[in-house]
Amino acid sequence: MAEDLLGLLGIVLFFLMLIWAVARWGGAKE
Amino acid sequence: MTLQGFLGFALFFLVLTALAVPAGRYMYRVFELQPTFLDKVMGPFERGLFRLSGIDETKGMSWRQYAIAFLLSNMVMAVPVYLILMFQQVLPLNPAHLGAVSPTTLFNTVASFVTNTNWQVYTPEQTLSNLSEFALEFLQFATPAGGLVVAIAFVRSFALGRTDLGNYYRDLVRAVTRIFLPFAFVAAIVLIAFGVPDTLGGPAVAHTLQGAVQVIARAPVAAFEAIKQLGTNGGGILNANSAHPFENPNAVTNLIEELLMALLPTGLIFTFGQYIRNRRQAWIIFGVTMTLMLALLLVVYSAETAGNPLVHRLLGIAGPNWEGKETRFGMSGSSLFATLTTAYTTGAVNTMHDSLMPLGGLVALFQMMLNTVFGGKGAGLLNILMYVILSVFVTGLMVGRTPELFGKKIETREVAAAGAAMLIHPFIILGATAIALATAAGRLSVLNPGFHGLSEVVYAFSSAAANNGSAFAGLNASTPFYAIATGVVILIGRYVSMVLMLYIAGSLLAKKTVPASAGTLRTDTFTFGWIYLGIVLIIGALTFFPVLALGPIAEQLSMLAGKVF
Repeated sequence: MAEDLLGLLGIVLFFLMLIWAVARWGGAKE
Repeated sequence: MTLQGFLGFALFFLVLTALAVPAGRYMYRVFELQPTFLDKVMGPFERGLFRLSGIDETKGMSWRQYAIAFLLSNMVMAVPVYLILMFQQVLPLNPAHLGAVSPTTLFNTVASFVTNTNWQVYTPEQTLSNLSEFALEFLQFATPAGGLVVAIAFVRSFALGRTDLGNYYRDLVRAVTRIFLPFAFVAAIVLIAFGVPDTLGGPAVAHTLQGAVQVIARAPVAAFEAIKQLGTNGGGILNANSAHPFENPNAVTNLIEELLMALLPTGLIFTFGQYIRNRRQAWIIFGVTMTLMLALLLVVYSAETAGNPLVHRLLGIAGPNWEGKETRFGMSGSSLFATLTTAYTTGAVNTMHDSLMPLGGLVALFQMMLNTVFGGKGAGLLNILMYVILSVFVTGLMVGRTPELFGKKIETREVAAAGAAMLIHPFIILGATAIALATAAGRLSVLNPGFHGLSEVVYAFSSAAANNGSAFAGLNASTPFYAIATGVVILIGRYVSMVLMLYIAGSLLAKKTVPASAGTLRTDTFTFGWIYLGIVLIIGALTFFPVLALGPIAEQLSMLAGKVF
């Protein structure tokens, strides 16, 4: 069970990391 | 090579072009909210959906909002699918009473399907319940729609007078309800009419004449098959994929499946032409990309029909390379499918790619490495435009013209982002291959010695990075190492470059459209088309030639020299 959830955590963290990077990204004119 | 084969190719590409142009126009109508024949049916459903979810679908988004909505929706889609697969053994619709899925397979499968890759490290009929397959089928609708709308958002940045990239949620829903659902519904009915089965009845038990008992896996194949091809997904509901007589029973279904996988990515080029109000530009991109794909198809077809000289010597007879092929599709049906599935990054297979001749395998690999020979739904057009930006910049520098693209000035920011997006692809393919070959866990899965073994590893990571999903099956990819490594490469390959392209879109959107002048480098000419193609090939060759030389090229030369392994 713990190993199963580790994969899910990995995927969620990957997305959160990218969302954070996009949200924090400065410099782009909008 | 036969005349029948060439006529078959000619007919296929004529039908494809004839269908892709109206499909492209239809997609433009869908995304620009123009009336379509599905308005009365889907309109109320869509409005109800937005009201229920509290989304204001009329609100335009910046690149940042669009990118976050894209990433967030993908994350939200991945979680329930993951949980369904994780608990399939206690959930309904499991007629074959299949057990739990292993943790690494779970991670790899969800990463693979949420990214439109459909790389499969498991045997579907022995691993996943019908409910799990339906969960994956949901992603087969939603993920190509996600790729498609990101490409639409990007091309909107060139459209005159626009101040936003559109609303991601409205685009996504309309892509599913107006394009993928109706197209796939019709395609599934047509496939059923030509003999593809569709049932929830579970496995059939047959008693053979010799008295043996045979369990035959059955599934809702037609429904799965239609969106598998139409969405450039490629993941089969049966392990043999489109080589299985249930997934692809005859030459007619083979032709339909080939058309389905090529239709929308080809049509998208014409959608793009409408957005920039320059159909000539779309025809130029279509023309050079089609020329490249036809040239590569001829390499595959001639290599496969010529066969293996070592086998000829051994048997004393000449003939084509039948290993890993289905006789009902023949050389032309197999070569065309292998070329299309790696060009359009579908990943479905009707022939075993591991058994292709070295040059046939090289083409499959090279197309995934370039990732611009039409490419997958949306992602392909994004990659093409990424190379167009670089081509405009490089050519502009060479001839002293202002680097402008469709009225927007191309500056450092866009070129740097396009360069980064372009470099990610070789970096993750070659980097992951190097790690695999440097570690015992990576080398253990290589079943063929020598050059072909290297090709198998490079193929796995090229397929993962290009979100293709096909495999050189000689590599045992169902180990924890490959399940995790390909899963990570798949995720990076999908999202990082797409976010960078949305960033470029945001940057272009903020620029004023400048009218073309004498100083503008025209991009809708054949000259520019060939320059674009040259740049794609030079960058592709420079980046990947060393590894191709050590893999399929060395294998080809060894074969010609009579060396066996």
